[in-house]
Amino acid sequence: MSQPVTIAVLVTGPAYGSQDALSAYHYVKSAIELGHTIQRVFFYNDGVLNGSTLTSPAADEFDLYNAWLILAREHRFDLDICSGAALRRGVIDQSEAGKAGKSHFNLELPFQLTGLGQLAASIVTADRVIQF
Amino acid sequence: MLRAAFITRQVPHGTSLARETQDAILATSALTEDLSVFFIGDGVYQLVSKQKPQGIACRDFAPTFGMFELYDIENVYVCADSLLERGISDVELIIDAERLPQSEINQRIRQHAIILNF
Amino acid sequence: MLHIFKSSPFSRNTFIDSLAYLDDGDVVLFIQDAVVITASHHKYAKILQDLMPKVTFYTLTEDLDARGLKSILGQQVSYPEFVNLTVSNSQIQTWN
Repeated sequence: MSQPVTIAVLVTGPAYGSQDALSAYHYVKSAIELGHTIQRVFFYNDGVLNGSTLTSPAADEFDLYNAWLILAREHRFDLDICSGAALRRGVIDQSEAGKAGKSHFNLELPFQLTGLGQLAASIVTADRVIQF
Repeated sequence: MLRAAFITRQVPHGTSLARETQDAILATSALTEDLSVFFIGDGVYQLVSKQKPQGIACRDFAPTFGMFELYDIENVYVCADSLLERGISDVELIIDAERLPQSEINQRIRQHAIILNF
Repeated sequence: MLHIFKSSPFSRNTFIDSLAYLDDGDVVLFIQDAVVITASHHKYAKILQDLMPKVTFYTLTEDLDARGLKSILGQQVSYPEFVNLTVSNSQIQTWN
């Protein structure tokens, strides 16, 4: 058993369409079970789509959106969605939707829009940054 | 050991990866000067000068590479072998990045604690 | 250095193009579609075999099982060992 480390995970793929987000999820789950600390999960590029509340998998398929919520709440790590990348891809919270004159929004806590500064912070301080 | 290496390997504009990698580099430079940028493989195309992506409704992010010095991003390298392989060794590049052979790029990458590869 | 590969070498040339970046003592982990590379004898198997004295190859069991495959080159590891590899190797890069 190795010394616990602080891990930041970068997710670049959507909740559905490529396996990246799923691989990241399973990795995070295992890392927690082994006693490591997840500093944050940062969603960038198409990974921002993980934050959409409108994700609606079939009842007999895996609900990754919900899985992220449960894991993040239980183990208290941030689910950071890069704001610029998200807005360009149609993932938007209530505040930004208001500013953009959009009648709907699809991002809520614990997922939150953040700048790239959060990713930068992890790059500078985490023991490991794992990219999916 | 330096802190962060960004390896960028995509042609610009066909995907958003090149542009978004640049954004990540700039954000990181605000927190540390301890970083390096490596243009390898197709990433070398990002440095071709006189790009006009407006015609395809894409963002012209190449000029921002010219701001790297202002942001104290000094360790910027381009793979000479990648340029040669693509027949663009003589093409004008937008910045005067240091051209290194692939073997040297490999060794410099290994001087970093955190490596992101896009 | 730990290198993580995700795509099939038959569809994307990422792995072949990155061979020059593998040094003695490096560790490689194949996940997602890349697991096909250790699952049978094919044109890339010899490249792996030639590298094996200096590079250690691992393939993710969960992704092999998902695809009905088993590794015949290098070792299979599960997610906990995947995590351990990322802890014991201080430098990691994922090749898109």
